[in-house]
Amino acid sequence: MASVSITSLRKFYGTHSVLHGVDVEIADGEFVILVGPSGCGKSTLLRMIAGLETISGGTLMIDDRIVNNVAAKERDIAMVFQTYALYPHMSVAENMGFSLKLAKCPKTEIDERVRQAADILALTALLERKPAQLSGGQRQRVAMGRAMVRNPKVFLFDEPLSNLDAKLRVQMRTEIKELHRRLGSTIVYVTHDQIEAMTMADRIVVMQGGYAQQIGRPLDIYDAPANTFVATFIGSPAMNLITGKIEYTDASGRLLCADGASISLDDPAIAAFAGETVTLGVRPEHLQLCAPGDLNAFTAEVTAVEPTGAETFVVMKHGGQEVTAVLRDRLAVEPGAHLELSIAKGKLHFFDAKTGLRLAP
Amino acid sequence: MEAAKPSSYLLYILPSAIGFVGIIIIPFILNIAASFTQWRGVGIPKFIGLANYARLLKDELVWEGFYHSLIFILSMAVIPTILGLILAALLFDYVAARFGKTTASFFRAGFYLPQILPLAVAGVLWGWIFSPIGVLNTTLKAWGLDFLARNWLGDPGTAMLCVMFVMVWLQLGYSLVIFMSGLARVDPALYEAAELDGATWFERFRYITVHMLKPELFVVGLTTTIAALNVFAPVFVLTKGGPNNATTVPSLLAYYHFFTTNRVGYGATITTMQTALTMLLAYVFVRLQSRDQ
Repeated sequence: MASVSITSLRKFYGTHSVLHGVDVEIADGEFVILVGPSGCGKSTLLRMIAGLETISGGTLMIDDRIVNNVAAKERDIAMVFQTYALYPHMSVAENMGFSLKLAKCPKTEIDERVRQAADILALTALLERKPAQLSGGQRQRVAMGRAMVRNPKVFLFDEPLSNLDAKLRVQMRTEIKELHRRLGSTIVYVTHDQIEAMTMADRIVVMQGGYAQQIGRPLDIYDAPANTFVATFIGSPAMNLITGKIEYTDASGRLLCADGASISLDDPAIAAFAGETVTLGVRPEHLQLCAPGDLNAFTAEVTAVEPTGAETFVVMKHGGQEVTAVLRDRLAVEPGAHLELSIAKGKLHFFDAKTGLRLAP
Repeated sequence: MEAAKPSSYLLYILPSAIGFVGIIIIPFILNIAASFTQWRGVGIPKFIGLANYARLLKDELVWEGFYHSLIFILSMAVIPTILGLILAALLFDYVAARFGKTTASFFRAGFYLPQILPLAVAGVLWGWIFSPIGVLNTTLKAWGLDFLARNWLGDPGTAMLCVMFVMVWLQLGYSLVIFMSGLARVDPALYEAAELDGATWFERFRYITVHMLKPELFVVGLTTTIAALNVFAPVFVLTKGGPNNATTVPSLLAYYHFFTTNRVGYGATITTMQTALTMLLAYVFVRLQSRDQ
């Protein structure tokens, strides 16, 4: 296993820049997930680590060796592709042992290592089958097995679960996490699914527009997003963002929205923003039903109710801005009804209304 | 809506069926029938049973023609297929990646050019090049290699080699274009996975490209081999089977008997034998392909 050090990494296609200087330190044995929307540069970054894309600027180190100009096959890296990229004319065993065959390992060693990986991944009974005879989940495991038999320094996963159905995706998430725990391997994993990122990663790198927006442990990012992009990208439903001007007098304050609607705020942090326009962030699960006049309370008009069984998503309008609440109770309300909501104490997030950067807490 | 009766669909294939029967089936049957006759092209054919076939078995010129057909399989099928495969992979992996797709397309079009040239034009062109006072000899002499200059198409020792070279030149573009279109449908991730697995360019070619292009290899192999067995026009234009039958092929012999000696029955016997060989070969190819799948 190995550490990966990414310093000011840049990528240009001609004059078009897609990565603008990314810095990430990945420790030996760490499971890091690059997450972001389509086109954010996460797959490009992964492919640069793999050696499948050239590096336009910055430094990439694996352990203590700069590998900017080292060929992909010399980096000792294994990758699981989104399409699995299994060789269709080879059996499962041949697919898994291909890299060892190319390395001219003795056949007995190839067989032994393939058998060990197959045992771990429950593929022993499928070793003679061709990829076309396997299900999506089995192909996924073969792709992982192919990576495992090499015992590489770093494992790379490029959206490996995106072709699986929802149930299998949950199962494979658990399997990959278990595999990481068992092997203690360094993993860099790309996904656009923030649930995958939250549930699997030791640390997450949230990317957008070719920049790493925030790097941190999943719950740290969830609890303290660095900007409004991260705030809305991590978490489902997304964090509510309400923009307005802070009015603060006599140790009490409120957020005044553009159309005159307001939210009373009981948080000492707001004193610092008196008279300023800010974006207030509230997680949907931190909104609760309350009586009129409670602290941090406001009234909103229901536009949609989405029961999921365990919870109810209530989509509302307040001050011309959309607000979603996740309520544990089963609520019998119709669109058009008005609800009185309050924000849980200490759960306010403040962002700069212009830059979107986190202000407090 | 009421579904149409299956028999009503037959109406749609009727125009093609009429053409197929009129242009392929009837002449094919008539050719087989003519092979059992003695006929000079006019008058009433005389049934002579298997006499033409007995003669064919003893006709050394025909066997020499079939031997030349094997050489043409080498120059029209084997060499262009192997060269086309390697060139397609190089253009796709190296030229397109390093110099851009436009450069790769330029070379592809260049290699394909002989395919769109009329055969008569190509024949005359190469006839000039190989002529005793042609470009090849002039160039050799200019370089001081006079001892190599010769009558390339007039010498039985070199005529076949020259015709083979022209056939490779002619056929290469066909296989190249088919292989390049085949490469375009291969998932690039397979090559990337192989690269990460430690494969060199040649190993990727051997273990990925060749296997992924098997359908194209079967098609190119079958069509070019059939073309080699039936080759006529290029040989006719370049050497007319000469010198001293050094480049003759069954099609030329059939043509010779049909139109020069007016032994239509015997000419039909040669073409019937050619057809049988071609069908046997096609059967072997199709069986091999279905077994592979």
